[in-house]
Amino acid sequence: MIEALLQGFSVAMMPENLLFIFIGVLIGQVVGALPGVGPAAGMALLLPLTFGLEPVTAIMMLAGIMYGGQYGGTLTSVLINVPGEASGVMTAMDGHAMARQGRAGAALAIAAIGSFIAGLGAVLAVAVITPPLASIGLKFNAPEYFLLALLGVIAVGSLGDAPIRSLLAGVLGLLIALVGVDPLTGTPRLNFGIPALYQGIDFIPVAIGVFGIAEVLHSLERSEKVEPIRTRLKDMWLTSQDWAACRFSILRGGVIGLFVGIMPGAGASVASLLSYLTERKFSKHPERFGSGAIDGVAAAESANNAASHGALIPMLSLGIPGSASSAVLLAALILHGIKPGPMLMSTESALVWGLIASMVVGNLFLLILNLPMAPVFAALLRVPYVYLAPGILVISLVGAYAATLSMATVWMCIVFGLLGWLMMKLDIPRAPLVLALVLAPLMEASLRQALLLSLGSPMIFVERPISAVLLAAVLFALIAPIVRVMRKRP
Amino acid sequence: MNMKLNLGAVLALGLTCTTAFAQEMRAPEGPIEFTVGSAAGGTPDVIMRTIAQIMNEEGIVENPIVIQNRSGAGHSNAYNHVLGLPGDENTLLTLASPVFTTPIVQGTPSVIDQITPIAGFVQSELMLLTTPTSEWTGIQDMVAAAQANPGAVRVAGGASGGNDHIATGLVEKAAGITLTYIPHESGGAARATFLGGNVELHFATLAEGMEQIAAGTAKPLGLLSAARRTEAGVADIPTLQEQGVDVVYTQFWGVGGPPQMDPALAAWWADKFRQATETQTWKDGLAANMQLGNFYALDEAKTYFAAEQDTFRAVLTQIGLAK
Amino acid sequence: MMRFLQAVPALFMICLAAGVMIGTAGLAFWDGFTPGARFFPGLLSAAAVILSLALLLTLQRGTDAGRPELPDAPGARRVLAAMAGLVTLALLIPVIGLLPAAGLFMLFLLLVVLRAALLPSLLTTAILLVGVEVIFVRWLAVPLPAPLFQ
Repeated sequence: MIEALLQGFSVAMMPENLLFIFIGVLIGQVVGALPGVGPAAGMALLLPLTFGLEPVTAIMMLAGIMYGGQYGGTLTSVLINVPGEASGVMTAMDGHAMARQGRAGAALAIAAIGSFIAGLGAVLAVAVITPPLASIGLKFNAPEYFLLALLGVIAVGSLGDAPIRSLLAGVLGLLIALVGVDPLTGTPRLNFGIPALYQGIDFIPVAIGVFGIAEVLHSLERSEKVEPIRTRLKDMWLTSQDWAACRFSILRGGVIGLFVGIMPGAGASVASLLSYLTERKFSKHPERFGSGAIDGVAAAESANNAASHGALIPMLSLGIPGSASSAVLLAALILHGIKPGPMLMSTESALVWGLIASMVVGNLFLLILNLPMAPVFAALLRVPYVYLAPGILVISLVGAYAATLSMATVWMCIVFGLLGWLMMKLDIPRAPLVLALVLAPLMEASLRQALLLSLGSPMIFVERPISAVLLAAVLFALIAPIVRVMRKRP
Repeated sequence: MNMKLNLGAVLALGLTCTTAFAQEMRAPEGPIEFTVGSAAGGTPDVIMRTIAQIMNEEGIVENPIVIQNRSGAGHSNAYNHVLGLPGDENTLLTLASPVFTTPIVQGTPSVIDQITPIAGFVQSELMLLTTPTSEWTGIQDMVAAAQANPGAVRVAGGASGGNDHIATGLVEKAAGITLTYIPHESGGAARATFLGGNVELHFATLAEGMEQIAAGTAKPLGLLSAARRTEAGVADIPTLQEQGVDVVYTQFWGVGGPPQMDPALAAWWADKFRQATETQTWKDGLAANMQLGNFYALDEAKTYFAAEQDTFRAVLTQIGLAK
Repeated sequence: MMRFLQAVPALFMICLAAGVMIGTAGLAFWDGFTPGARFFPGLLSAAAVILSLALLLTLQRGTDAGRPELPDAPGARRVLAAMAGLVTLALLIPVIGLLPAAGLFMLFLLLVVLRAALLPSLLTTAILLVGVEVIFVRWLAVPLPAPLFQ
């Protein structure tokens, strides 16, 4: 295996491959930072450009876009509070709060370091234990996904300072997710005969509206002279306390991200949410989560990068894409004449090991690229907000349009922008809405799939070992707050 | 002298070609968009990208071709875009089963009756798989189990009303049994459910199925084709038909133009698709993916698509999804 | 006024829940082995109503029910103008094309709503339009809506 990895490195280190890995991560960084475009869409748009390349080189470059996008997505989440994809929501919560406190540089730096360490760990896991990990991933199915999603939805109630308002926002997100079509039987539901709603409301217009546009609208209310966020150079960098707070967050985030990433049905968004919530449990100052906790940023970012690498495990060993971007990577393999599937690792070992080695190299490029650039990107916030605000609106809408090539998406962004602004005015937290929207289809479809699998018997949730453990966690999450309230009363 | 003669001959040949087709064919001008209703990476997307690449690289079509994924809403984003461009000369719509089934499920007017049919050019046969440890050795064992215990045999498949669901419906009808169909958001998710050992049955294309069989993660129960394949290793897999369950169902893909497309333009495209599918690159791809390359152009395609639409409507009505 | 604002989310959610129940009339609650298409809508509507009532209860008791804050009159005017600008932008895009519409929107927002200085506004607009053209059109080859009558 060591030999295979070394062989992989010899492929990845060829000058031409190095160049295209670099181009790939650079492109990933840029498209990840465009709200709405994101790595999967970026890879799809740039797929034709790889046709002239050798298959190995092309796959390395496309994979570079995939994980480079995770680094790039951090930029918009932290700087302008627009998560370009679902996995950035948790980063935005604390990352943007840090940016408001003038610590955008530190947030970006820890995100890059966390992503690098967790990414590297995940790549090693891919290299060493892909086949057994893939079979663990297959142990997760509908019953486990349902309980995982339920756990997530219950947990979003704890984001924000008042459970009732957070839960209300979560329920609103779940209700929005009902629109379009019943995820299991395909029965049209609440689509009001509007073609754009036939398959439901996508995450992208909601996130762009509720976060990005609402944020800009909110900032427009204040009088003409909106103070640019002050960023002093000494606040740009990580302090030793920051590092001490984050070391283990990165570790835990990476492990959680990897495990969630290998499940074919759950993605980087579930990973970053679970990692963030776990971190708050471990943290010495849970009250700071949501208002600029650097360990929250570290946990969320390391988890989503580990998950995006972990998604390659079912892809490489089973031919099952674990995420939208690994689906595009799979298509790229096919277009380059390589047949993915369970035999890929043995029939195309040079390609697989080359890809694994390239991810080590690519993550290193991204770290080198991002660390010195963090203060530079953060300095963008010195541009007077008056000039930034209209630009954010336009780029958000163009990005949303580019994602689907449909004006309906632009309209949805505007409607959700208004909703998000109203939520800000009425003091209803916005993150639960967006997260619930992401979790809802997983929750509804997998509950019903689980009951179909068991032919109607609810015992399936107890009989499967992993499911039973998750069920216990769900019950604990439900009962613990009630017990706490009961105890408080004398 | 010799040279001149050759040149003259080529010129003459060229002239006869032009005169033979001049009345009915006309090339479009400017860049071309192939509208695809699936996201990048979906089978229709891969097929269109492959054929576009062949057309451009082998000089069959000089106009630059761009693939646009107008994904979502069961391909309706894509087909509504093309339906909204009557007479347009630079856009073609990729035809995949959702283009047929979404209107039936949503109760909207048929798409295939409005667009200009150009060609159906690639099909994928399906096989029915069961778990490697299963005691069943053929489809009749499965039918017997399903008859003994209606609904207890489970199928993991893609979206509700999609190809796997249609195939399940056809098998149920032909064998007179009831299966439990478990829809998934994607074919990949369904495969994960099957590989995890959670269900008994799963439909796969031949290429996917043979991979699973080779890896020892699945066992074939039969092909949903009219005849066996000839390749070594696949040839001993019987069809469902010869085992007494009369189901023939293949996935297919094609292209159409916007409504009221100039017939000369449609004929030109049909010819270009024919040329592209006659290249070695395309044939190699078909062989590698174990796909069929039956070619239906223009009026043949129209008849073919209409017949498939009737199948879809019948099965969707049977499983209660048609509106 | 304050109490009314605090109650708005609860009232909105109750209306929404009612709307969902009406909108899903005709779908099945239970479907063979599993919950049907109306099961989750029903469950969520119930949850929405319960949570809304709980919110109203906390409001009644004077415990935490949020701190709504309304913008002052000039602020509200700016937000409304920006919203109107966004709607006009979306209406104009199919007619005059995305880039011209975006340019007009930028200038409207900068010069009319935010009353920024002329020169930097023109500069920002130009930079943004060039950026969108280069990144989205030239590089990513996204077919942005073009003017209707080219």
